[in-house]
Amino acid sequence: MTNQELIAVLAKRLNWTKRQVGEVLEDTLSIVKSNLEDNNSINIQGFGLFETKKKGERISVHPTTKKRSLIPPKITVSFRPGQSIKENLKRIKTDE
Amino acid sequence: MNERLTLQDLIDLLAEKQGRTKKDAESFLRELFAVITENIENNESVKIKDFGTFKLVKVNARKSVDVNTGESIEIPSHYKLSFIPDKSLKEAVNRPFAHFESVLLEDGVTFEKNVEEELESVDVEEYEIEIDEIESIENNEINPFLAESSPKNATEESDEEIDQTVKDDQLEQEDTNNFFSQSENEAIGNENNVSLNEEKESVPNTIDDNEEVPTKNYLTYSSVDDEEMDMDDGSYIYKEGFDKKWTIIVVILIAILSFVAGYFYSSSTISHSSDNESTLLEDDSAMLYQEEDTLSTPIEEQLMATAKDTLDKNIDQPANVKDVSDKPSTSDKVKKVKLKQGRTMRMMGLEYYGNKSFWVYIYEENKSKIPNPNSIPLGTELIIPPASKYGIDANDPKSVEKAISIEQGIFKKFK
Repeated sequence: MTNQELIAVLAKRLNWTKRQVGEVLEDTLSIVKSNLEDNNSINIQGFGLFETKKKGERISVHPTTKKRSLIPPKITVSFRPGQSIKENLKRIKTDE
Repeated sequence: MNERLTLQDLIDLLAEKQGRTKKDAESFLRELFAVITENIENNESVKIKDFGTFKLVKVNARKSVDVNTGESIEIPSHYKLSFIPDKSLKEAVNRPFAHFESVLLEDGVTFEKNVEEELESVDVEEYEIEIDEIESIENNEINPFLAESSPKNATEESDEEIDQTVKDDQLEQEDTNNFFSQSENEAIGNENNVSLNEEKESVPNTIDDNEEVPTKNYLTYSSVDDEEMDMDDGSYIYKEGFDKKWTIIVVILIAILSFVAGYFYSSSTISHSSDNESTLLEDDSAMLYQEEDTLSTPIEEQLMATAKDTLDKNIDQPANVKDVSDKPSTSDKVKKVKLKQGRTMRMMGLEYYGNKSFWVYIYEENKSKIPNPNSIPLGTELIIPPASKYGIDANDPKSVEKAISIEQGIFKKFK
């Protein structure tokens, strides 16, 4: 589902214009982004948790050239799905 | 920082930002997540521009153990929801660490401890403090190791070469504390003694020096010829368990030695200001130099490599004086220097002007060639201006202060 589709569906459901939906969506994302930058985690009940994680430096080996490099530490965004979603996902049948 | 925001907080923030009612904000957010959830459950990925992609990932069945009964059970294959952040989000979040880059490692560097950790929601400051702690511990770890290697060298080689190997180990030790590539050690260790003498004084110095050099090395790394590499048993291995007692002894000895060194430093500055005649200064500096030499040999025996740091600082001062009085001619010449690997402008400032801080004038002279003083490409030709051009005088504290203030200005611009 692309951005456009998402906006379209939301506009329909809320009875707002697509433009409004687009704006509000953008604002929402910027709020989430700035909070993540500030190392704050965002917990949406039933959906999931957005948080930042620090990853320490590590040595990695390039598979073909066999060159070893030292990868510096970095901060990453991590998402942990909420319980209801996890439950729903369990119900999805997988083809074995 | 480290706050946990809830949906309510998000609603409030959104309502404020958009100027809408809280009700509107709430309904929007609920719908948003509902739509995402529905799509996910239909196994359709949701891509949000400048944010990221939510999609399902299949997880294969695996055998596991039931926590209560202890009998083996199978966790069936299922899907899990994964979120992959967009590039802009990744970069924004990683901003505190943005200036780090990967560094190629040469053979011979080993880290016994695998340094891969995930720290959850730790303050950046905390993390930096942790790095400092690890560094200081590793500093002391290396000491017992150096203790083992040096006596072996002493029996085999002459005094001069002891200097060289201790310097090598010393340099290596300093380097391992930062994100250095191994090649820098070897490159420095393999240059001839003459230049090494002066470099040695500047390298094991303040942290500022080390900050400048490591970032440069990230970008200017080029593979070093294998033949050039002369790996001592200075292939250092971090040992997980280090002797705490040893570190305490080392720390106490360092403290004592630094007091002694400080005493010499103060006495040199006193003689400095009292008499302006160069001959007298020369005498004093020669005396001090000698005294420092006698100190340095017992030190080598005691293998206090880190103590040498403070001593080297001391050697700086009389060396400055000596340089100026011995070679007045260098200040008049204009030189062109090609940047070799591992060279910093600070080292050059020390070499040509007698004080590390005068690198700022080298930078000024070559501003057109140097977009960022923290990282200069190898082989750049730098013009060393004559000292008189910028009023560089290592003996004049005002000149030094001026250079330092210029230095601060440059740091603010580029850090």
